[in-house]
Amino acid sequence: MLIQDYSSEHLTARLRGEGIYLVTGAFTVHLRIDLPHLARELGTMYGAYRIEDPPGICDAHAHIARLGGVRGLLGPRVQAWADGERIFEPVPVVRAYTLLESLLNWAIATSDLAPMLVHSAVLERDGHALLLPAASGSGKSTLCAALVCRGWRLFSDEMAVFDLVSGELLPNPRPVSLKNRSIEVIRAFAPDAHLSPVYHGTPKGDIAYMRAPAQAVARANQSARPGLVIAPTYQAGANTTLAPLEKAQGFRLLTDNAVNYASLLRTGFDIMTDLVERSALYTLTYSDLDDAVERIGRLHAEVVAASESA
Amino acid sequence: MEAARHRLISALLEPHGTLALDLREWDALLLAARERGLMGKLAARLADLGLFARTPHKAQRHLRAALIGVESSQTAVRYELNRVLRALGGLDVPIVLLKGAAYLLADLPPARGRFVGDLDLLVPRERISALERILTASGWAPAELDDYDQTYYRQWTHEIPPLQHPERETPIDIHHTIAPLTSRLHPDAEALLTASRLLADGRLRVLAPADMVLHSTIHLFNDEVGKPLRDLFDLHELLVHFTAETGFWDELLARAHLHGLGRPLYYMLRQVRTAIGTPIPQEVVAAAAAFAPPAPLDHVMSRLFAAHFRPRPGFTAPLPDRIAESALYVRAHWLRMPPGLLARHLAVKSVARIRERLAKAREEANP
Repeated sequence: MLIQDYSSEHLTARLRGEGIYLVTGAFTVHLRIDLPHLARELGTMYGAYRIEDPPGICDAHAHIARLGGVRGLLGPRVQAWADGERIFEPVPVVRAYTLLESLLNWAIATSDLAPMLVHSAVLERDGHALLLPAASGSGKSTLCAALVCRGWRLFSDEMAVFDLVSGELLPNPRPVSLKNRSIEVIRAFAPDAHLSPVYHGTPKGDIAYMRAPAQAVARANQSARPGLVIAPTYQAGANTTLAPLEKAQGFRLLTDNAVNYASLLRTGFDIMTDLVERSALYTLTYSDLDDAVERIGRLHAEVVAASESA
Repeated sequence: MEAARHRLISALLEPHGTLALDLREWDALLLAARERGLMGKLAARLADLGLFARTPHKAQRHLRAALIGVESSQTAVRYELNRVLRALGGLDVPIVLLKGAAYLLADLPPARGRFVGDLDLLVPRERISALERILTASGWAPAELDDYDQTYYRQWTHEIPPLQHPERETPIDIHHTIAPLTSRLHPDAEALLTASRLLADGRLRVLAPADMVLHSTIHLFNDEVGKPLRDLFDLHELLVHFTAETGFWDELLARAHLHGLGRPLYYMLRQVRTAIGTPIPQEVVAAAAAFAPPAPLDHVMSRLFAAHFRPRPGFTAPLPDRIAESALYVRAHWLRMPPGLLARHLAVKSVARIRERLAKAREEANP
């Protein structure tokens, strides 16, 4: 069953009761929500996602509810729990959806889960994955959203997820978070993209989410081998420049952006060396989004052609 | 709730039983194991019996991650110890490993599948400042504490503020005895050192079996502990392991007398039997009963501890369990310091907490 197959009332009731096992590609989160308006927002953004029914083994048990007690008197706010523990500071009710997204990110980033994680947007075309590793705030989500709007398959705008056994990238398509000026940039770049309302006044400024295309969600069980790594930097007024990166530099760059590389010991090292071995590595400086998307597409096509003739 | 307790403990004791679980039951089992810090232990038990590949695919992902996390933590602690020994050079100080580090270096059963977060060392009280001087001169630094916390550690506890190397994450706790100085317990620190056993490397030591069990016991029953069921399972494994040593049980009772730790020993033996089913000789149970508190208190304590060790699947513990937790928290502090000091400590701590809240509220108001 997909979320969109449920009526709004049924979804709200179920989220309030036993909860749903929400499948977002590689991860399944047991989610309970006590706020009807948040249940409706979830329905809008996650309509194409599968609910595991009957439920099996999840990766985290998550719960969002209105804050009670003395702290609730300061104004209507909501609080998130994961695996029985309170996480994050409470947020005003109107920004509950941002808390939901943070909670789902948290469920993935906690070290308890098995895959190797690297801060990177991941997309796929012609069976070869493209990684855009960068720290948050460097504009990788904007570039990722633009590529998605030009037909790339979304894996993640935040986190590259590597299977520990196969070393392949696992999809985890979720709404792409756009901050501040990128919201208008993407609206202009792709007027048809479905964006959530803008949530004002978060610690990171204004945030809006771009819905993941249904086709990316439907194929979320299909992993891909890494092929191309491009570390992007947005620089106002810069010409689009793609420069190859030495393997050793690429290794350094990827480990710098890794979340749990060090604690994976030998396993992490093997996956990382394999990734660097088999990928073409570049840096990208850009200011013109159309041009950057076009150049990335061409480079990726060359890499795919080279790997297929090899 | 009963079913889940049964499931986590019996999965650890008889891992073959997990083969009959459906996915839903696995989900509950993994949640309980994760909440109680026993995921690595469960994974290790399954792996040791060759059952790993027969568990559901999704469960394997969690279990494998837990094993890697455990290995990673143990590697970090071994490495930290290696650095400490290197810094100390030939300094002639007996170094006794405590808790996780002791299980790990002495290769005791609790180490298998167990996360080891820090390096706990016991050294003679008069040598502690020499040790601290050398380590701080070699790059370790005290954890960032305010003045109150610094004073609190030095004057009133049984350890100095934790040291940490700026390049690594492993905290080092250096103790000179195994109970806070202010508590009503006064284990014989010299006897602990004298009876300690040299490890195969010829440098490091661990507490003698009976002392080790008693230390883990007071830590679990008189302190606030993050993972009570995990620590109780440590004790279960230690007891089962040391049973093979001739005279272990007599020694355990004798050392409990010597250190004045009969009451905690009584509580521990009772809980490990009821929660896990550890085999304990009848005559030891009978002898330990002499340390029991008066019947009404015994009844209350037994209820509180039972709630404390119960794995509870779900989001929040039921109210009675939360009340039990609060009661044990207050008790841990009560045992740790005399009433006047306790009042002062809690007052300072709550003022600090209020300040923190105010700062946070201000931050939220003006982002």
